[in-house]
Amino acid sequence: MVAAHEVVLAELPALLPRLWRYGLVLTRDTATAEDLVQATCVRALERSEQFTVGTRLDRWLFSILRSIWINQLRAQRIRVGQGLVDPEEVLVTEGAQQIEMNISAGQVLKRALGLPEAQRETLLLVYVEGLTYQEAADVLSVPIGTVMSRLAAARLKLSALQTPSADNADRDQD
Amino acid sequence: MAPGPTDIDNDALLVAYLDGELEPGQYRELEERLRTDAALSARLAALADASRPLRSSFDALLAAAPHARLKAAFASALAKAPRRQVRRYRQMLLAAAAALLLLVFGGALGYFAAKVPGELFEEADAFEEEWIAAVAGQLSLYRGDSLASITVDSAEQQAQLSRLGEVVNLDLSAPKVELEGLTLKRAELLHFQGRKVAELLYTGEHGPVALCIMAEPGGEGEGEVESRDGLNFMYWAASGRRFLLIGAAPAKRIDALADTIAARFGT
Repeated sequence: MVAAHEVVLAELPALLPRLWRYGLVLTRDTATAEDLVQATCVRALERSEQFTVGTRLDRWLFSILRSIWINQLRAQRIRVGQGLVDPEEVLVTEGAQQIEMNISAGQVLKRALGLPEAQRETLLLVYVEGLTYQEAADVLSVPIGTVMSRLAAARLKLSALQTPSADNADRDQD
Repeated sequence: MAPGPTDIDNDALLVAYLDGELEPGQYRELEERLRTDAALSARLAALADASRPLRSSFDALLAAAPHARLKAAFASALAKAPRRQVRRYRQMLLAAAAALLLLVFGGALGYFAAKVPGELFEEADAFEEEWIAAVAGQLSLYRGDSLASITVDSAEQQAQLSRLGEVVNLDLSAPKVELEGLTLKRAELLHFQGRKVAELLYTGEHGPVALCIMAEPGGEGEGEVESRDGLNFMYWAASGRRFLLIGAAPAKRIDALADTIAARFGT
């Protein structure tokens, strides 16, 4: 029990930027992403004894962050009318300063962040974080088939096969 | 054109192929189809293109993360964590002791048999959380000058304070409840889940501040200012009462006010 707490304590700080990135992909808002990371830290430290030493801490933290988003923050944001965010504005931080990156990376990100929530988080977990389909299915609590169809839909939209105007025909595959 | 169901199934298969997630049998079957179906292999190429720059683009975000603020968030979470664990541990001990006493004296056996101590302290926590959330919700309805417009009849307020004082069994006379920089606008008796709550509503530089007193023993607080929905609050329990001081004022100010109040009531 003590060991689990110590592992969480020692390894969590290095994972903060990746948690923030997942938060940003979910919330599309830099400030809310920060709140989400803070809430994730609080819960992870409170429940550190529930972490199984020898398993991946990043996966465990992703699940926590996601559940806080789904159960607490998302509902609040939708209530105050911020549910729809323009992906173009996501990369602007609180101080209205554009996150600096090269143009093509920025274009890719804008298109990826414009995907429906379920697709963009699945995309992040598998293609950026390198989770296997099974690991992603576990974090997202969905069957593997749903992971597959979300990835296919996301890739299709990011590919040249579909123009952005066809996007409104899309639905989340849940 | 939006894809039909067959396209989606095909795409999922192609994507799983690209991601190395196909079973060996499915893999060989698809390779065979790709060799003979030019359209399918063109689609595969397009889908493959789509994910190539993803990782490097998203890695640019890692560099842009607010590293200092994230570390500060972790530090603040860390500062809270041990206190909570100690608190839970204490509550668990208390609950276990209470359960044991009741068992020894033969009371409420069924109740405690059904509820392990762990659930009991979770329940106590949940009650405090709900109570704090209810007061925060009420207070968040007041904005700026909504309290400023209330005129105060001093004699009536004294009478109301004295009635409230009887309810919570505390001296709530003017010298005890006057707080520097704040004007007492309302003193009223509220109810939360069947318990009586004396609420004193003040207004000041930073908007409304509420002091709530419940004449019932409760779990000890965090011993520090916490925040919820943009409000700062301090919760503590002493001398068989629960106290909650909450408002939009800065944490330092809430902390100082809570000290004053606690000292006045000898808690």
